[in-house]
Amino acid sequence: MNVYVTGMGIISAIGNNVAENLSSLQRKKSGIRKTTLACHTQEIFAAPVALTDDDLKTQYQIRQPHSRTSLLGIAAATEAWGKNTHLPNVRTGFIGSTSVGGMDKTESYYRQVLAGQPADFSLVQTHDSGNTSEKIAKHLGITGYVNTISTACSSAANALMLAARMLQQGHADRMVSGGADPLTGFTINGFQSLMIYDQEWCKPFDENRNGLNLGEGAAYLVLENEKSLAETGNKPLCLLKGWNNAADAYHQTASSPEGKGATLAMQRAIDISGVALKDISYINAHGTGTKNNDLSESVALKNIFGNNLPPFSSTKAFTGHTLAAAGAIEAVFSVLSIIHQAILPGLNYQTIMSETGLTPVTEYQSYPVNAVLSNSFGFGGNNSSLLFKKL
Amino acid sequence: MDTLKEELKKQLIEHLNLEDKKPSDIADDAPLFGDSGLGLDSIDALELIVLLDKHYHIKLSNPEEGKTVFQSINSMADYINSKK
Amino acid sequence: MYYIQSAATICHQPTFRNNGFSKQLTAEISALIKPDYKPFINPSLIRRMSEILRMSVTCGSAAVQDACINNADAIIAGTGLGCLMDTEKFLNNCITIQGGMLPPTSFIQSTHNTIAGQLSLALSNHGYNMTHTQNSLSFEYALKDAMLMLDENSGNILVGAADEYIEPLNPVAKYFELNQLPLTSGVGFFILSDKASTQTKAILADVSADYDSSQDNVLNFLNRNNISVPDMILADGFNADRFENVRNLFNGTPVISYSQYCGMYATNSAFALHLAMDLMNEKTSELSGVQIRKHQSALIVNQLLPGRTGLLLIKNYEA
Repeated sequence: MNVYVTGMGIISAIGNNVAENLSSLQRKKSGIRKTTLACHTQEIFAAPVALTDDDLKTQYQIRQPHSRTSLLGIAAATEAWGKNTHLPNVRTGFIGSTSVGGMDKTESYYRQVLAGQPADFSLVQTHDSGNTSEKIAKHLGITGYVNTISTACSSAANALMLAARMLQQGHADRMVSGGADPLTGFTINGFQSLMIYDQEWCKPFDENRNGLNLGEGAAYLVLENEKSLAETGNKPLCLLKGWNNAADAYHQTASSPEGKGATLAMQRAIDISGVALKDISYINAHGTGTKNNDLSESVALKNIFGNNLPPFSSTKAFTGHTLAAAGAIEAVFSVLSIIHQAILPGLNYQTIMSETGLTPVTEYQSYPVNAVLSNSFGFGGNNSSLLFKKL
Repeated sequence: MDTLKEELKKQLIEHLNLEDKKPSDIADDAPLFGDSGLGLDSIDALELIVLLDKHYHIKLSNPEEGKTVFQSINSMADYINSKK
Repeated sequence: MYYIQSAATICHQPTFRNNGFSKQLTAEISALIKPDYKPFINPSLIRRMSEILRMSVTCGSAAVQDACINNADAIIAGTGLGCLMDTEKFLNNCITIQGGMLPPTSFIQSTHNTIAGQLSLALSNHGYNMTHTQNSLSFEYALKDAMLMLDENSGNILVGAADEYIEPLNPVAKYFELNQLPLTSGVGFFILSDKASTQTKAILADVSADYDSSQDNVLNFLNRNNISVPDMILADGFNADRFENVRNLFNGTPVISYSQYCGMYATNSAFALHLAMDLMNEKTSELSGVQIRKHQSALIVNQLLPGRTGLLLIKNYEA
């Protein structure tokens, strides 16, 4: 059974919807800037979404306590859902993902607690990751199957994979799936403590790369089977054709030098899709800009493609690393690549990596795109790949 | 110098939760990383940077530098003394 | 059909590698009962692990051993609140350490997927590695994923749930009136297979998880499984009204409230699954005054939080 992509929505530092994101990619306009955020004491390079919590609450008429995570999620999911309606014969579910859930609000709550002040419990009410999905699903009117995946930086890719598997096995007809994460002091401090937060612009796949910049955002796809298409009349944009998740089982944070988990994830996703290697036109890499990831991922790419590596790039130099949302944001970019028959650029690339000699795409350009492979790799060696294909 | 090394061993055990180790188990010149020595890894290297900052107010901004500084208790003590 | 090949639980009752624990349950919830972790965890890994990770790696490893398999084909975990101890530790450091450097270990281990990730490291497992987090339904969604996976490919899936108690939960639980029972920790892992073997302990007939707390939801679930009345019902028993509604569904069917034994944590239906298996396999005839006469089928009703229902149907396996 085919899994069709019929809708998508996104909010990121390079735009509040799909059209704005595409325009920024075309104009090579990054969302990363030097900024001081309310959640962090130092000035850093980060990619915040332009809209504030209040902007989002007003726009989507929300009054109850919401984490920024679910507000970003509602914005993107509403765009993805578009003109869809609830139909009795179309079993619809929601699979969201987030790495920190409502941590943005929990930080404020815990600051009150530690200062011995009276605590505002409405802030901690949205802490659990499942709450994020509940709020978004409720906004769309989806009941029944509502679930959340949390596997750090591969979360949204895994959410999309689970949705696709459910459709393929006939457990659902239409799924809204993706992920959301806000910028938080918790995650910024976290990556700084790992000493992989670049104090300048991140430089994915560059010899002199020195870490990542964090971003925030959310993105969702609407996925449907044939039965649902017949009922909804939605026009498919492309197919989600292959997916896989594999554990690197090497180290808590570092990726294995031979890229074992990444290689397994890509290989199995390609096998499931039935798409030939030569028909993969573009790879949207995980490419965080850390020394370890980009080397390990490059090795894995060479393991799969040998000397015939298709054009590849990391769009994290546009959006920052949006953690759990990254897999969904980059899924939207992969679909855009197919719809617009274009390959997407990375930014800030200057020097070829001496170990691998691979050069990423640096310009937005027209290109015959048949299939796109999208990688998302997380902490704890959680590696996922998705393969999108032209209809 | 020897007091510093003893102190470092205790701090190492406490900070890295080396539950089953005593200071006397760690030789001054034994490699801290890799299977032949104490078996520390890249996360420990980051924790050692925090340890230097916390106890000795030394900031090591480049993790690569840690590779030479954290070779052994001897190299750590030398480094701390050189920064005094 | 899905076959449960092994079960390993660490909680506040003597569950770990203790067949017949359903006859030893105590009404007073004791401290967490910890087994010796050393036989299960590599010393180089254990030193950094918080309690929930130690419990998880121990249960996961024991489940693989007890199922007599070399390794699992996938690892799937459910957790409502994730690795709270490390999360609180890092959050606390973020707020209180001004200008200093922060120790990274608690950040690394704060992510929800540390549980399944540490299991992949401990078991050298390169298979599918997934973490579901949907508060009180996290375990049910993990089970559904495992069943889906067995529909796709034959195999043995290590599936379970983990949640841990930390002191800062107390004021939150008090405020939201979730503190009628002690807040506790619990981990349970199971091997689920599409094939029966000499190790098979029970049949997992069906699982449902959704945002519907109607009685019809429960009845429809049993209907689709051709069961009119299960031999026993295990209900979370957290809320008196919801517990009464479950009791009223089938007059005369023994209903056991499981939270009173394991305490309150988001994934305590994993304890209920192990308890149901033990009650059936040991033919336990009485629990806290509830008489159990037949041991062929058990229904677990998880309505720990309002508006959400998790349902598990377990059948006795007799080769």
